[in-house]
Amino acid sequence: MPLIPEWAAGSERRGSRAAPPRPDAAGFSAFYEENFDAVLGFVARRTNCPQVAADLTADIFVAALEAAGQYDPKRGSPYAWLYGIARNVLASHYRGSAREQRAVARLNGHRLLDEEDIAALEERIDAERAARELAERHGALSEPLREVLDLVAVDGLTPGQAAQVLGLNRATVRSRLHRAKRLLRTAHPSPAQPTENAASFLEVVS
Amino acid sequence: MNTPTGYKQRLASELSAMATHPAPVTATRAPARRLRVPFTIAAVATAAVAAAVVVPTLSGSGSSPAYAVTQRSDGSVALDLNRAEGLPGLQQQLKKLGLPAVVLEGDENCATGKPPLAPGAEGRYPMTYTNTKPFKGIIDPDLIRDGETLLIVADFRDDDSVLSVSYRLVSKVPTCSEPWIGGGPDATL
Repeated sequence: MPLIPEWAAGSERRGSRAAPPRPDAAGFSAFYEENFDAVLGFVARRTNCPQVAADLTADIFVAALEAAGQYDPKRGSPYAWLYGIARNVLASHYRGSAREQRAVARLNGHRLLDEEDIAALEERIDAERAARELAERHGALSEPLREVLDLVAVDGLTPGQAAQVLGLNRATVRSRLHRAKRLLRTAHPSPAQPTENAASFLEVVS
Repeated sequence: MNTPTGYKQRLASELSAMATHPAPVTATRAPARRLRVPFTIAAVATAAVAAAVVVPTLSGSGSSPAYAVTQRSDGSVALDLNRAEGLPGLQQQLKKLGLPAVVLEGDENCATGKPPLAPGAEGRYPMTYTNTKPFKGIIDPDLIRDGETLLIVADFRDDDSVLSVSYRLVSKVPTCSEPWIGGGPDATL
C-alpha cells in the first residue's frame, strides 16, 4: 500500500500546473476532479465508516467551493489550501456539536451513496487501516506534535508542505518531528515490523 | 484505486449546481439566544511583557477559570476560554499584553455578517488550536501585521460553555460578526 503521497507528491509534480480552486462551476469541476481521490484518502485515513467518509468528503468540497473565491496562490498551493480546509472540517466533525456540524454540512454526502459506492468505500477504508493505526499511535502526543506528525507520516506530506498547511516555518516543523520521533521511540523502543508509514516517517525526520 | 464512481459523479453534480446557483445569504437565521454588548476594545499597543502573566477568573457556577491568558517565553500568548463570562476579562488581558486582538461573541443576526479578511492575510494563521473542549489556543503575534487586528469570535451554548472559537485577521474591526469565521489554515468554519 502506498503511503498515499499522491496528494502531496502529485502536487509537487504538477507544480504551478495544479488546478487552482475557482468558484465558478467549470473551474471548480476541474479542481474537484484533480483532488477528489486525495480528499477521499484523507478522510478514509480517519474514519472507518463509509457514510461518514461520504459526509466528510462532501463537506470538505462544499467548504472549498464556498471559500474558493478567497484562494490566493501567493499564499500557498491549492493542495495546502484544500488540506487546511479538510483539517478544519474534520475538526468540526469531531467536536461533535450538532449545531456546528449543521453550520459546515451543506450536503448530506451519504445520501449520494449507492451500494456499489459503499462497497468501494469499504475497500478504500480497509486499505487505509495501517494509516489509521499509525495515527492512533500518535494519540498520546501533544497536539502540536501530533498534527505535524500526522501530516507527514499519515498523509505523506513533506515537512515543507506540512509547514505550509500549518502556517509554520520549516524549522519548527522539523523540530516537532524530531521531538515526536524521540517520544515515539521511547514509547515504542523496538518495533519488530515497522509499518511502511512509520518507516517513511523515520526516513523523513532522520 | 477503489473509487465510488457513482458517488463521485453525484457529488460533482451537486457541487456544480451549488456553484451555478449559490445559496443566498442567511435569510432564516434563528434568533440570537441573548443580546450581549460586544466587546470591541481594540488593543494596538506594542508593549513588551517579559514575565509570564496568568490571569484566571473564577466566577459563576463553574469550578474552572472562566478564562486564562498566559504570556509564554517565546513571545506567543496562550488563551483558555471556558465560559462566556470570561470574555470581558480575556479582552482586557489581551489589551494589556499589547496584542492587536478583539474578542466578540458571535451574533447570528449580525447585519454585516462576517467581516472581510485583511488584504494579504490569506494563508497566515496567527492562532493555533491546542484544544477545543474546552478551548485553548496559542497566538503568535509575529503573524499579525501592522494595520491588522486578530478578530476572535466566540460562540457559546445556552449554558454559557464555549461552543466554538473562530478567528480571522481583519483590517477594520466590526461591531459584530457572525460566528464561524475561520479557525485554521483556512476560513471555512
